Amino acid sequence: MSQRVTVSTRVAAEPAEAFERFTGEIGAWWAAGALAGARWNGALRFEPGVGGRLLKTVAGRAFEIGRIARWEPPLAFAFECREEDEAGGPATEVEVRFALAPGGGTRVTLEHRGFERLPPDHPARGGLPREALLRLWGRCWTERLALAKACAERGR
Amino acid sequence: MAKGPSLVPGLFYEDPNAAVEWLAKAFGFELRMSYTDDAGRIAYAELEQGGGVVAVRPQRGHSPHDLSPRTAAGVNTGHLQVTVPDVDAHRARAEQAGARVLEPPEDKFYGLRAYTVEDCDGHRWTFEAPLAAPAPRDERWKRNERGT
Repeated sequence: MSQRVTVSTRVAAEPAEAFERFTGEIGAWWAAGALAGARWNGALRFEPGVGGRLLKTVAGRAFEIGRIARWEPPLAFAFECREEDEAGGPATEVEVRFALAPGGGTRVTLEHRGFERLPPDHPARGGLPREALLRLWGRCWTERLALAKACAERGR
Repeated sequence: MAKGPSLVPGLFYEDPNAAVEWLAKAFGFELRMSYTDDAGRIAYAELEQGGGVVAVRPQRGHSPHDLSPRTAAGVNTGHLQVTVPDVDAHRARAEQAGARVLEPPEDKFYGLRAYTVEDCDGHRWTFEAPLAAPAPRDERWKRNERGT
């Protein structure tokens, strides 16, 4: 098993539309939440498809956050996750799944896993003990998911 | 900031992973957030229903401050109330999942239909919904009004 953070919400949109907005507008919801700040700012975009990159551009310079491991619209996408000062080191993985929700709309579940791969002095740990780190990510993803939900429901 | 409730009560469970599944199946709660330890065991989870959130926390073993009723001979030191759209449908769902109903649904004189049930660890919950019309007052109430 893996140390993982899971967040979930219901979105008032069909899975295909939710997938489109979550991936197409990832920059609008990624840099929010408890971990917002200069380190996380920048324009984000996917190169759609397995093996494509999630790119972050800061001041005209592009950085690869990670490669896409799963790209199955409208069901799921997954990618490796690193920050710029972690290039080359171990990566965590983020997976987002979309399913028809009972009663209408889409159940979106985001899983961030692989924290056990990060050594104790890894910058992504921020010096925090494991439980505090996961709690922080739990809060952060809860806030990001609320923004992503607003993106997916915009205009409805 | 995501809007969340300003109060999140937490309950302790012997097996938090099983509890999250059970509470979804029996009571209709939806996972909002969780994180696990090295072994994949849930260290903390938040479940939501309507506008309410409840936290599922693991019983850690020997501390008297985080006991599940299942470990503590059924002792409850709190009680949760949840407003749901349909009390009878909720009861049917809970019973189908193996929940033990303690008080079946009843129209209460204070304007609610409610039932009380035990969850997988013996925590007690009341699920209730406002009544369209007030329930008939019971005899004790009438006697009070008459001053007898």
